[in-house]
Order: sequence, then structure tokens, then C-alpha cells
Amino acid sequence: MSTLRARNRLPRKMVAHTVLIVVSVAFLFPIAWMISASFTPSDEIFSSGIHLFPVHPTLENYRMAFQSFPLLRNLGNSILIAGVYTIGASFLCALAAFAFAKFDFPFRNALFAILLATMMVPALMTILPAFIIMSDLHWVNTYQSVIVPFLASAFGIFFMRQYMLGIPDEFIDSARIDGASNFRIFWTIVVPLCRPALAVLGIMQIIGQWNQFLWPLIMLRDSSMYTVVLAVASLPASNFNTPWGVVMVGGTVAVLPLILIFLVMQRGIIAGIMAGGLKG
Amino acid sequence: MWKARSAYLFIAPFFVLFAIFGVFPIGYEFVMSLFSWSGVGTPHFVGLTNFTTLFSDDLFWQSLSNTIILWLGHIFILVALALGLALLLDAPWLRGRAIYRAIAYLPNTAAIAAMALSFQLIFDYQFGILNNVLEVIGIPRTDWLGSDMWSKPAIILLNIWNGVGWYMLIILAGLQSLDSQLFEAAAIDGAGPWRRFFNVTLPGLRPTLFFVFVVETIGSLQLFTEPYVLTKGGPSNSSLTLAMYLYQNGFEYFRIGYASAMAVVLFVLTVLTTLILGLIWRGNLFTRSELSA
Repeated sequence: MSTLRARNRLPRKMVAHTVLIVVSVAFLFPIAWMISASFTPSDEIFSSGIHLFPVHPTLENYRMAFQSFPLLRNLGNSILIAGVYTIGASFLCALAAFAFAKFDFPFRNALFAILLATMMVPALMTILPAFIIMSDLHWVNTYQSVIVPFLASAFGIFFMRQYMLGIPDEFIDSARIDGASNFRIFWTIVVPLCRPALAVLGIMQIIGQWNQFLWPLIMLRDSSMYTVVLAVASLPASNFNTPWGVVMVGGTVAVLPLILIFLVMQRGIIAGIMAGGLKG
Repeated sequence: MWKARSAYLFIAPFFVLFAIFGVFPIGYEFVMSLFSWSGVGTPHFVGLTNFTTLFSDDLFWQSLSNTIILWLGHIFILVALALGLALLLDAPWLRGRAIYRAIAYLPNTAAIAAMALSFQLIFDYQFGILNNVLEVIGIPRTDWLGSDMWSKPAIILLNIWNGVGWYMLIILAGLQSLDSQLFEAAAIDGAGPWRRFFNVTLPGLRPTLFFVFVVETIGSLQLFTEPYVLTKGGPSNSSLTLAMYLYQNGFEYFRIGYASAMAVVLFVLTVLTTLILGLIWRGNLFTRSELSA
């Protein structure tokens, strides 16, 4: 039996690696292809040969993209929206999670069940009325319109609560004896202890907010207010003659910042998703 | 565990925001579905007219059937791929698991609206690399984005590419929460790998797979970005989804009442499919002691 196993092991490993390498190439290819095309002259993109890398690499697409479209402004918009959102949402989520994890109050479990159930509400159901609310507030085409509605995310609260359940009560007890207020305990003891979880949640919130499409499409009206993802998706439409090389520059600019953040933080992000087990 | 009134203050922001941007819109949508309104002037009550118009609207039925075909056409492939990958990447004898996991998850961080542009280029009939490569291996060129028949598979490919890594991680987490003693006991009893998979792994993954199916189903019924950017719903509405049709009616034709009626249909559809999935599984979505502190 054991010799049979030893003999089987090598082919099994080889088969597994072969499958995984093929799959990995499929995952990476569309991104790599887009980046490669962003350095390729547009007439070369539309030639029949199969080239993985540009034959005549050029920065012309980048020059044209940043000259003809407010891409830098759009990048700035994305950074601002994702940044402000992430700071606000992390704070509100941690605060609510603290209450759910460490306090006993009437209807706590019922309220938490309602909170989990809200994740099942189809977002599409709410966009029309939410738009009408936004126009009554005169918030159409503003940054706050794409930040405020999502500030208290059920997923974020759930995720932080799971982490806070693991914080021993003694840490908080001693502060209580010293007479600290609940908010003070939260801010000076709980938040520092939650730093690793907050970092993971923060990254997930940046990714989620940066990549949003439908809601910004509805709310943001001027191309100077667009997020970079929205601006890029409307590149082919905004000007029918936009060369494909330029469109691919847009795609690269929209996608690459998050990929770099992910590559730096991937260990924490993957562990965080597996621990949370739910999506925002 | 402490008792404190301030706990309500801490959780208030979530419930206030959800009341404004969740509860109110849903109620509003149900009411508006009974009115005719173009966004300006006074809405006037029309009873169930919006629904009767909707149910005789061919484009509504087409968008509904497109949505259901796209959902059923990808969910089993997606879950099977995610499960297969998770099983492979759970194997303790495999080196480089962390790298493979990261690569599989990478597409999930890339904005789907931007990636749809890259896929447009890849799917291009004449110059797209997919057709160029297929031709080399002897498969005839396919008009992915320009034919009624292939627009849905193109969207499904983008969808699976983007989503499979995340579900793989969720299933992987489920696999790692299984009791390893069960596998040892099954192995001692002489169960081979296939029997262990069907009798130990799959039953253990039941709550995880239920979660995966529910989340992906709710997401698919609202599918918008992929068809909006990749195919614009075409050609000849072959990839127009319910979500796109709702968006067009609400934000392009300003038929607020009509779009609201569609939202109500979508809501009912979502609740029904979730209930049916629940009946099939007979499990609760949050069984994993999430509710007990």
C-alpha cells in the first residue's frame, strides 16, 4: 500500500501543478493583456498576429489618455471617495461591532439578525428611491452621494464583531473599574487591539468602493466628478474614435492601484476573507 | 458582558442609514409601482396598470429570460470550479498554495467595469486574441460579442473569471472548518477518496455551499455591469438583463412607476428563489453559530 502511495505522489503533484498553472494563466491573462495593450500602438493591437508583448512599445497611448481625458482628476476622485468612505465606514462599523460583541441590551440578537438579513436586500431595489432622496437633498453629482449611503455596512459590522468576540473581557473590565466611559474604552482599548482586523476591513472597503459602478453611474453626472472606474468604462462611449490603446491605458490606470495594494497586503486580505466568510 | 444604553447609540448609525437608504426605498418602490410618474409634476395613481403593461411587454420577458439563462448558465460551473480549486488548494502536500490562492483571488480586486474593456478586446471577432488562438487549434472563429448566441457565454466567462476566486476562498474556509477526525475515521473504515468526498466533505460543506448559492443567486438576478459595459445588452437585446432594463426605464426613459414595478417583480423573484434554495437545502443561512455570542 505505502509503496503504491509513494509511486502515485509524483504524478499527482505534477497533475495538480499543471492544472493550477493553466488556471493561473487564465486568471492573470486578461489583466496582463490589458497592461501590455496599453503600451501597444493602436494599429498594432488590430493586427492579426498573436503577440503577447508589443512589437513597437510606446508611451503614446498614455500621453494621449492623460491629455484628452481628465484621468488624473478621476484618479483623485477615486482616492478621495474611497479614502473618506473607508475611514468613516471603519469607524462606524467598529463602533457598532463593539456594541454587538461586548454589550448586553434588549433586542440585541433580534437587531443583529435584522442586520444580517439586510445583506440579502437586492441593491437594485433601492436605487430609484435613493436617487430621488439624493435629488431632494441636492446631492446629485457630489462626493457625499456615493459615500454616505454605504457608510454603515452590515458586512463590516459582522466582520469586526467576529474579531472583537475574541478580545478577552478582562481588558475592558479593568478600564471600567477605572471609570472610563464606554466610548473611551472603545477608542483607547478596543480600537488599538483591533488594528489587524481594521486593516483587512479597510482594504476590503477600499476595493469595494473603488470598484463600484452602478451607483456612481447614477449619481455622478460630470466627467470631472467621475471615479476612475466610471470614467474608464465610458471611454469608448464618450468618443467613438477613442483608440483602443488609449482605452487600455484607462483600464490599466483603474485596475493597477488596487492590484498593487492587494499584492502588498495579500496575506492579510486572504486570511481576512476566509475568517469573515462574507462579502460586503 | 455589560448593560449600557450607549450600546444603542453605537449601533444607531447603521439602523438610521438603513432606514433611509433601505427600508424607505423598498416601501417607496412598492407605492410608486402603483403610480405613473416621469420624475417631474405630480404622480398619478394608476392601480395595477404598470404590472399589466409589464406582463405584456415582450422586452420585459426577454430581459427576464436572459437574466435567468445567465444565472443558471453560470452558477453551477462557477461553484464547481470554485469547489474544485478549493479542494486542490486545501491539499497539504501541495507547495505554493498561498501563491495560487492569491492569483485566483486577484481578478476579484480588478474593477469589472474596467476589465470588461479588456474582455471586449479579447473577444473581438477579427483581431481578438481568443479567436486568433482558437483558430490555431482548429476551432472556427466565433462572433462572441456580435451574435445572439454567444453574447451570453461571453458575459458568463467574464463573470466566472471575476468571481471564482472569492468563492474558492469561502469554500476553502468551509473545508478547513471541517473536523479532520471525521476524515481519519472514514479512512480507517476503508473509505476511498471519492467516498470520503461524497460522504464527509460534501455534507460538511452544506452550509457553506448554501451561502455561496444564495449570495451568487441574489447577485446574478441583479446582473448589470457586465452586460452594460461588455455588450450594452446587445446584439438585439440578447444580453439585456432585468437590471439593465430597469435602469433604462428609470434613468433613461424616466418611467419611474414602470421601473418601480420592475423592482417589485425583482424583489419578489429574489425572495422566492432564496426561499426555494432554502427549502432545497433545509438549512439556515447563518447556522454556523453566528448569532450566539
